[in-house]
Amino acid sequence: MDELAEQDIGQYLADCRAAFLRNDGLSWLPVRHHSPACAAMTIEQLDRQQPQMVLIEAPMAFVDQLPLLQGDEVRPPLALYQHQSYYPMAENSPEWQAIRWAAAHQVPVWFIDLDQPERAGNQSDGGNQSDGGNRWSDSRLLGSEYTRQLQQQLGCRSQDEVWQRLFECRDFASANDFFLQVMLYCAASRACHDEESLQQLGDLPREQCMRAHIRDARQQVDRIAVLTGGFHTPALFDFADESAPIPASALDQPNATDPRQTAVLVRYSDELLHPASGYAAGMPWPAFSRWQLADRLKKNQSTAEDWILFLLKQLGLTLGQRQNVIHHLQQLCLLRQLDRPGSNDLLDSLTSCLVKQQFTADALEPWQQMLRGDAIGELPEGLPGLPLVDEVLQQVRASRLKVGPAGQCHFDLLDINDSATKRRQLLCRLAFVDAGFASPSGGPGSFYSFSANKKRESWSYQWTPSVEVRLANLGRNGSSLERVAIVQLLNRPRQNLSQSITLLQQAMQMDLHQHLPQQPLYQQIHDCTDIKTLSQSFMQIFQLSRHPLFTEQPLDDLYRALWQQLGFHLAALNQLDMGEALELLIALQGIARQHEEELRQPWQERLHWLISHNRHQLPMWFALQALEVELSGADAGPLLQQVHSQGVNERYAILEALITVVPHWLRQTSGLLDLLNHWLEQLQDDHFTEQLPALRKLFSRMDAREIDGITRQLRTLNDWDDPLDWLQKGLSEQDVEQGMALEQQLQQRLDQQGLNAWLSH
Amino acid sequence: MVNVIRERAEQRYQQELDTLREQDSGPRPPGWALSAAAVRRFICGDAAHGISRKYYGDDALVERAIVSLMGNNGLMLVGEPGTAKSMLSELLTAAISGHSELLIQGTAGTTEEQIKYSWNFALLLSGGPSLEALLKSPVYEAMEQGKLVRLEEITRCPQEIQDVLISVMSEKTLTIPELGIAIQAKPGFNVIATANLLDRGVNDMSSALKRRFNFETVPVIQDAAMEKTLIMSQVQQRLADNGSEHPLDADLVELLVQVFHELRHSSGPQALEATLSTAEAVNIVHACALHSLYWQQPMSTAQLVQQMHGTLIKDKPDDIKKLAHYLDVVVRERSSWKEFFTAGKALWMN
Repeated sequence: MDELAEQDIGQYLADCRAAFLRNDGLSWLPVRHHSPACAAMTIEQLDRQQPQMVLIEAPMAFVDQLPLLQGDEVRPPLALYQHQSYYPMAENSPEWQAIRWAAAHQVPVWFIDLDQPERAGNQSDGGNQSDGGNRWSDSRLLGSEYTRQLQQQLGCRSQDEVWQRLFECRDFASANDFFLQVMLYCAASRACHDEESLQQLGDLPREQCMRAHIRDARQQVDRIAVLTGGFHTPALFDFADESAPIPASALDQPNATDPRQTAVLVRYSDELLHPASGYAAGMPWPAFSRWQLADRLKKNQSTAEDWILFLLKQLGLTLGQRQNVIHHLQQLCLLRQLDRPGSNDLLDSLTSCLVKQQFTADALEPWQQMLRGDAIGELPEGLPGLPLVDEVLQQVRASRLKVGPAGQCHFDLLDINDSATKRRQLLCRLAFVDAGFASPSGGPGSFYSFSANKKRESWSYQWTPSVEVRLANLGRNGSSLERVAIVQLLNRPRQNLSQSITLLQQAMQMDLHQHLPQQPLYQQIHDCTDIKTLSQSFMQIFQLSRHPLFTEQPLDDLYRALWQQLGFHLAALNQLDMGEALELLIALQGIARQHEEELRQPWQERLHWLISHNRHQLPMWFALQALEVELSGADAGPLLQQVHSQGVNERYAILEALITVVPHWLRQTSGLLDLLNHWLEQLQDDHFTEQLPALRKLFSRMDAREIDGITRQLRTLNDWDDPLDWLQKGLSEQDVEQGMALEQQLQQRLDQQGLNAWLSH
Repeated sequence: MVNVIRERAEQRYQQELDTLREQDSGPRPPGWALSAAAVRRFICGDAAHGISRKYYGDDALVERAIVSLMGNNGLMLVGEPGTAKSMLSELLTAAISGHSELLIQGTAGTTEEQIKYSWNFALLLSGGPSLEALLKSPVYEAMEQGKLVRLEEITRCPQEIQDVLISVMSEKTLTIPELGIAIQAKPGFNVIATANLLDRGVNDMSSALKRRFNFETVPVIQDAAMEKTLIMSQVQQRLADNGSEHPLDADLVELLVQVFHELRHSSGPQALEATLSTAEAVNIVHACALHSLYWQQPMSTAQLVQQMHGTLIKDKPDDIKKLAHYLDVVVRERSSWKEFFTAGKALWMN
């Protein structure tokens, strides 16, 4: 404890204790924001004390939403939203229970914290969004040195486990006793922080605001209950000495009708409440916390045994599994001196009793999923939402996409009508801004790098509270999806040609390409000298320009500029690795043949120029010649004769190049197979084994029928008696399936061992 | 100085066990020498009462293991070599049963007789089957006395031999058909088995036997500071057992721990096949300390590298190339690791 000297700590805690116990009609409810124990004890304490007013730590402007929060049509998890920040409420949130209690007992509620704009102004970080936009946080409470020491002493694995053991898994004599213990724990944690850090984090002005509210409330009624994060409670005891007035609420501001400034109630979900989503005040396992609250509310009617049985029933364990786990869990609680098990204890027993192998991170995943839960909040129909959320929701509905359950939609990319195009553009825009609404079935990659060969496409989508939350956060960039997407588009890096082309094709899919400035792109093409980048960019843009999805988008100028630049630099082919150079040639030849009318002539001229005006290695020279012969339809015989005349050492490299660029010559043109056969005969066994992977790759370019044809020719060439009927080896369908499964396993193993490069040789 | 090379846990920690027994007021499971809470304190330590920490790792794992032994199922400790599975098993047995001597070492040659019982053939031939002629196995004795029995490296045993345990563990009965009797286990009996994941793993175990064990995976220590403390204390203990006392070079131990952590986190083709457990690190530091003690030289980085070579390089010559790669890529750049680089280069980069 840095702030207070050790001898002062005792006195400080004694003072806090005395202040807490001073029975003057004021009931302190120090809480952890989503603690089921705190929620249950809040109800008990409120029932016992019957306050005339309930004060809650939440921005003052939320009072506007109070009628809705207290209505019958809402069901948590929900969140109050203000100024890019969320204040989530679950069934097990003490705040939620206090609000509902107040409604049932017709007691007024005050929200006593600063509004978010004021808070952001008071924070030294200017209210950054690093915590995911949630403004309740347990980090100071659970991250204190005091908690760290307790963790070490109790042998707990996390700070959250410390909290569970101290408060969630124990029974207390009374709610007052419980809150006293929570307050002392929080006071000790607070003592680890100095004034300066509290000031920097904006706590002190907030606490001043809370004290001012308590002071004013005390002047109005005799009995009040003050529910705040336990970390703040010790700072509120001196409310009577507070001289500052209550600051003005956002509701009193001139822009009080703007929901981004005041407050809006939105649906939330278990997924968003879980700390894994980045929520700094989240309790692990939201569904489990709900069960804990329900169990605590049964009071004396539920024993620890009932609770364990309930848990195991929720997890769907078999009778045999339950017997083992029940005993283990009961004994574990005894050893840990717990009155009832928490989530850590339950997962511990499941680990011991049900995982019959080496423990891995995903061994408990199915049960963890159940503890995490999938609850989604409910709000009455027709509530006004946030501008961007509403706008997107309207577009989603207009596109006939489902809102609520998960859905799928399919597109025939080669024959797509206007409404489907619009629908796809919407999905692309939402994927691009990372709204979490939709993704193509091949993963985001299939959107980020569009393949022109793709004929069909499927998207999965679901409208969840997470989508609303993300969209609300994105709302700071604009109130329409188009605007938000354009802002992101213009902010994405376009530092080289590849990035610019990738971004352009994304923009085309969203129908937003007109917003990308053209001049820098042409400049990048002009400056680019890398033929791999140029050829890839050219092929991408050329294929896109011919794709039915983008026929209305003018790309001809762009692909011509790329072709010109590529042609100019094509001589640099010789600087590439032979394999890469050949791949590039095949790709260009392929596209030239695909689009004969436009590209055949220029490509043929370019090939001729390459052959006649440049020096090449022998294999490259033969490959270029072969491509030219192929394109012109001339006889390949003379060229193959030239191969014969080369030395034995050069011959294989030439053969490899030829088989790479014109593999079908093996079958169609007499001479090439003969050459290969002759060369293989001369190989020693060791050398043959060395060449085997390369040969395998060569032949993998052909389909089964082509290989079958080659096999027959080989039989004739070598006078083999036995037929090589490799296609008819008596393989059953099952054999083939097993073979495929084995190959898949092999690939996985090689991937795991970092040897996947082996497969590509 | 003790007069045996290695004392059993209950001998080494006799005083602590006596203290715990005197203070122990918690409920003791039937047949147990201590309450579950006292067993936990014995293993995880209790500084306030002078009980040292013996297992450096996850306390929750120890708690789960203790609780598993109270139930009907046995306890299976699995993990990579050198993760203190056997030590944990010995400590649990010493605390729960009072002694840890009932042990079967699993090997490919382990027989059914070694698990159940065998015969003194001279007595068998002269007087026929009788209790006098019967030689009790550790399992038999554990059942008879209500104690824990340890089965080390269970997966090294053939599966049909492992399966002998199924009836023992489910029925808690051992039948002796030759005598027409059956031994029923007394309260306190249970089995702790260990299995090495790098050896044959647990895949060869039958499902029926797996069902009768609760599994606990003992992880490699991730916290470098904790591993350093553990290595220092273990080596000091070994030296003390030998009647010696010698100061250890804490910086050198820290360097070794860092090397081990970095090598453990190598993946793909650069991952060493050698076992990089805390036990190996203890062996290396212990050997360095002995060298320093008997050759009257300070502990040195060069000696550490020599011992690493001797301990890690077994029958995997590729590991030398991987160590050379580690030196070349990682160590070379570190100015304060010059000695380590020079010593390693001489051994692994030539």
